[in-house]
Amino acid sequence: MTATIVIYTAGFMISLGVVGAMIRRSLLAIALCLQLSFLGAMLLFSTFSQIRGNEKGLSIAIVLMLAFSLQMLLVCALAVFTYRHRGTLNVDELRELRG
Amino acid sequence: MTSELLTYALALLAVAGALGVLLTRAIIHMALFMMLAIFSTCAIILLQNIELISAIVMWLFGGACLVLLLSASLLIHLRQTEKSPRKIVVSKVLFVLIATYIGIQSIVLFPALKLPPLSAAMLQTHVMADHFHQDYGFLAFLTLVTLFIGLAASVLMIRKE
Repeated sequence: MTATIVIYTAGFMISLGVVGAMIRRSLLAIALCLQLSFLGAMLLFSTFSQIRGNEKGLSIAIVLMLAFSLQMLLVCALAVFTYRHRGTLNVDELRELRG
Repeated sequence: MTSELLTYALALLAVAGALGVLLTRAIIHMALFMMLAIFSTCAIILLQNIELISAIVMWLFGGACLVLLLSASLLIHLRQTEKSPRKIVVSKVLFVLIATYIGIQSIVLFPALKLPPLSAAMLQTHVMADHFHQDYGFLAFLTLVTLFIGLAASVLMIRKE
């Protein structure tokens, strides 16, 4: 199996996720775009771990998934909280913490 | 040969799902495209014979995270609030064109990298579990504790009002 196409796919997914996180304004949409980036990173970890013949990459991938589930939980709770208090999820309107 | 064709098709599906996530407006459509990308990625990882990671990605990303996100979007009755100014649409189209150009150039210029067969250690799940336990056990424990605290904090935060 060729690894090149898998690596390019993962890179494309990571870059699309980053661009989406920069462009989109809804909090949930940003979370989904970040999930896309994490998915690409997972694919890269598993592919390079197989190329190098080292199973440590797979362990890092598992830790990465745990960290991402934590992030998703917090983002969803924050989205519900923000919507109930502000009535919007638009990140441009949430500017209390700006200096 | 069949495996290579399958990988190309799955990679195409994953990229289509990723583009769908970026280009659609409604959260439910984004989640469906995300599901397509997750399934394709899981199938690619499964073709690399790493079943454990594929299953965990399916459970965590496809199951837990997406269901959590969809339930959050149902809780807040989200309307379609995002508007897309012309600048953003133009930047998206430009990005897709540039990325496609770079991708095609890279595939043409760089030689194909072949995946080696899996080592014996990688085929045994308990070896990977040993590495995970020895090298990243504390980190995983820390993450799980933080996850639990985050869960409690989010329940408290929502119930506070």
